[in-house]
Amino acid sequence: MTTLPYQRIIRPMAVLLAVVVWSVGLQAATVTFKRGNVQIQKGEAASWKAASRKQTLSEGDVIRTDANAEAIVELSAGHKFTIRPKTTFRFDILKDAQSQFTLIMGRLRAYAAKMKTGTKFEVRTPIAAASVRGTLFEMEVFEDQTSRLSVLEGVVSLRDLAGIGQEVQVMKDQSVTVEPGAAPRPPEIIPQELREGVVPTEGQRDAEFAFKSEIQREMGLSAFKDIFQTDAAQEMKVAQYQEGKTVIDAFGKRVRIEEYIVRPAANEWSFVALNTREDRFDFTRFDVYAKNALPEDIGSVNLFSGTGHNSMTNWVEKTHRLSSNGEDYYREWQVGGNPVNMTDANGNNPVQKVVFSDWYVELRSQSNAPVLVSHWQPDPAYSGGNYDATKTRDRNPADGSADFPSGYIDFEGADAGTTVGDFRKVDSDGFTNAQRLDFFDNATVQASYVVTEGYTRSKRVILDDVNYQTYIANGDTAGALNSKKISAFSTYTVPGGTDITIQVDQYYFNDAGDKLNLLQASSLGSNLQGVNYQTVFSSSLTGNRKIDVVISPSLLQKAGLLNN
Amino acid sequence: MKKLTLFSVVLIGGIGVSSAWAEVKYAPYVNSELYVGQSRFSGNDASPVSSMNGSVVVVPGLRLSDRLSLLPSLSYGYRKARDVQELVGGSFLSQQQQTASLGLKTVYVLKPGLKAKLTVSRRQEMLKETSDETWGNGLFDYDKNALGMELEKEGTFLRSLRVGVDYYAVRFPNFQTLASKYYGTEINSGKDVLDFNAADVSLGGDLLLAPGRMLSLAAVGSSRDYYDQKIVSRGGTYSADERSDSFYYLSAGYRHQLPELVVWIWKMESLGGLDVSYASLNSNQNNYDAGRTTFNQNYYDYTEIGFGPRVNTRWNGKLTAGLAMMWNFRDYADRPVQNADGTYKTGTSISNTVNTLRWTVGYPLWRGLSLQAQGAFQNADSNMDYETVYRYNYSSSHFFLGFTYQL
Repeated sequence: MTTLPYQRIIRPMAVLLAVVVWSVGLQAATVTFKRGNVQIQKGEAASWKAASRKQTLSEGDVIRTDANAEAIVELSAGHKFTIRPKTTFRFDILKDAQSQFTLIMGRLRAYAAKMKTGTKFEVRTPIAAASVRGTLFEMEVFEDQTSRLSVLEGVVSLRDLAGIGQEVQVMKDQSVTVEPGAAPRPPEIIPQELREGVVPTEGQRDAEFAFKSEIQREMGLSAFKDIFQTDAAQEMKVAQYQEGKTVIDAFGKRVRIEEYIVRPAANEWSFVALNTREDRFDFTRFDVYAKNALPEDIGSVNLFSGTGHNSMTNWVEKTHRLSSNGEDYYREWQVGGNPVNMTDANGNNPVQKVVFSDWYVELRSQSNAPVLVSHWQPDPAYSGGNYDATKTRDRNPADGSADFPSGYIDFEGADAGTTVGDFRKVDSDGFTNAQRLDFFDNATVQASYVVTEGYTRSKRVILDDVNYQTYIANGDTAGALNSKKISAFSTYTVPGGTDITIQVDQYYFNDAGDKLNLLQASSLGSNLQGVNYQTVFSSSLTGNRKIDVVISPSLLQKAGLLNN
Repeated sequence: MKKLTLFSVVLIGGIGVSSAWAEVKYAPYVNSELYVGQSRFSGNDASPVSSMNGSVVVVPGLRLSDRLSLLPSLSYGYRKARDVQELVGGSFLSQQQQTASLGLKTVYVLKPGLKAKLTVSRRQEMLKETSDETWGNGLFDYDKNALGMELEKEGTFLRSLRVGVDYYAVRFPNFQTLASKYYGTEINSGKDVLDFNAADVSLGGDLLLAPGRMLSLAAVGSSRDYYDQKIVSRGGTYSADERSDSFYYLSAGYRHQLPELVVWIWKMESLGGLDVSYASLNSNQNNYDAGRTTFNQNYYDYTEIGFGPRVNTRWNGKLTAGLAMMWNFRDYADRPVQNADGTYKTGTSISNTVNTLRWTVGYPLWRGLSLQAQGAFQNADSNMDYETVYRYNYSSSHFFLGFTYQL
């Protein structure tokens, strides 16, 4: 630390010098900022020397700047000049009561501090003079000595030194030009770049005003970049909406839907739909196990039916569907699928349809043991026979059942008397692929269905909230087939215990979101393509908690849950 | 003696600090606005929705020396309704948004006319889009942390030439895929699929073609890495590869100071302008519509061009009025059009045209306080007919009245 730092020595000295000068009625003019080549001539006869920061100027001194150079000179009375590039500026009078300067060439910005009454502050050009007080203004002298005054704050008086015209009061945001040998022109609005800084230059840095302009500009440049960055985030959100992965329902609640394809093995294909809504989570999973390997794109593959006898080269052998609200689940699975040749009632239109040897439905409440609800087997009249004759046939009108799914008969009717359902030990926490395969293939598990320890069931089918029996009683078959809400309400009598009730409401929709009636739905069969489901399960076993899986947003719309 | 020494150190240090501080130029910059008004959407509900928005930016600028400036910034914004340019399907008008950001920009003058800038910032955006979302728990809340560097050369004809590199990370803390949240690992679509890290390279310049004629050019190239979003395959399953996007943007804006007009007692000065832009997004991500078992390759790729004139006027140095129109056309090269029922058309891709008209009127009241009115009308037209979950065809407008204050 052998040198004396400016802050501790030079500046206090400069301040002290300023005080001394001020005390004898002179102002101190100090170079407070410089950039580039700035020179000072100490009197007319002196040579030009490089200016230094904090250099003091006296009366008669001249300062000039090169291209891309600038300087700020501050006076002890508070006046301030920003001397722009290619400018020559002289300090004529630096008295306390009078300040006079001459802009010989170039351009500067002047700030004149408020002064005592009687004091004078004047900036001249070779042909004009501006008298000011408490103002901020821009003064320019062009090569032909044409001078222009632009006022940014306050009022400035301007006169031509030749005395040709009258003194002009130049107001804020006005600009007045004086040409050699002419009176001042009428005031004009100042150039845009002076007022708003649209043309940012190094010449705009005079003290706070210029610094703020710089801040404003830097913030603008940063905002420009910020737009790209936030737009990128916004795009991610928009994509979620566009793909229907999130929607807002009619109640203003968030609904999220995700649908996935999983391919556990070459011949397996799974569809998974996950759904959160109103603090609840539901999901469904539909697994298809084909006879042979499936192509990567299964969009056009039909594993359930084919046109013409012996037309199917690949078909579904097993299916598994699981729907859960995270606590309870409804599970349905089919096994033993094989294509069967069929014709219509007249023996025409040969088709091949997959018929499963067994169709199971199971329900489970939280951590309780699962209950086998239904076990269906193919209707002998359907299997290999005339499909048209069976698909809308009600096998036993007296029981109120529409025998849905058509073509299959209730296991109880086929073999097990009046009992169906049993308690079995199955996988309890989640359903891994291995567990599902085990469920279908394990001989012990399969064999457990033979041991039927179910309950006596009474079942009602309700179509559009009307008991199916009513349609039967009224002979209104068309009304039944036009129904769009299919509700199966079953009651299982538990000896010595509480009866179990199960209600399954099922809706079918096409891609347009239109509800399909019973007749239309039955025509879809088990074809995966173009079918949308909404199934609502509830049971006394689950405390009537619903499992309500929305697979497609269009379902929400048609259910009146979407605003669109 | 010890006390005296300590006192001396404190005194001398204090003088030094205070002297050094005396060199610091301080300039507070404040820009704030507050508006109330109404927004209207042509969709399901044409009745206007009351709206309010406001923002404030505070920058206590510090010029530490001739060369070094520090621009710390703090900003906050609130909006009750979305801007017309942020529409997405369903209940869009009810959105509330809070934005807070903190930044520090350092500007260092390497030599006259050459500046180096370093920026660090953090932005947090919170949304309440639904009645069951609370502040801080919005599904699409996000945080953005950014670090940027820029070199700027200033000159006479080429008033400004800027070259910058920015790195930023965007995180959606409340968004995870349902699959990862509820379904375990079998579906490997990823968990934080919206999060990404990005690196942008930007080039910008302002050319003073002639007094009152300015041309501004900008080019941005962005690489975005979605580190937890897996690529979906033709069969709908997910590969181990992650999504990566490249985004490019070019723009040009021309400003021309028009001749002053005098009509009776009114003197009008005006600045005309024309903006053109081009944007392109290339992504390695595809889309699989599981509900329709349809694979859409290059689903996210698009190109967009924009074009629009504008004019800003000032009357008698006081009243300002501006009018701007923007026409944007976005073409998704490989995103197929869907019918109203959601089924896919073949051979046509989605193209959207959005026309926006904006106007502003302002009048300075006192110092930096101005009365402002602004409005916008937007019309969107698309060949996409499936609008169950997202509106592609609509018109919307808003009108706001408020104040701006700049210190």
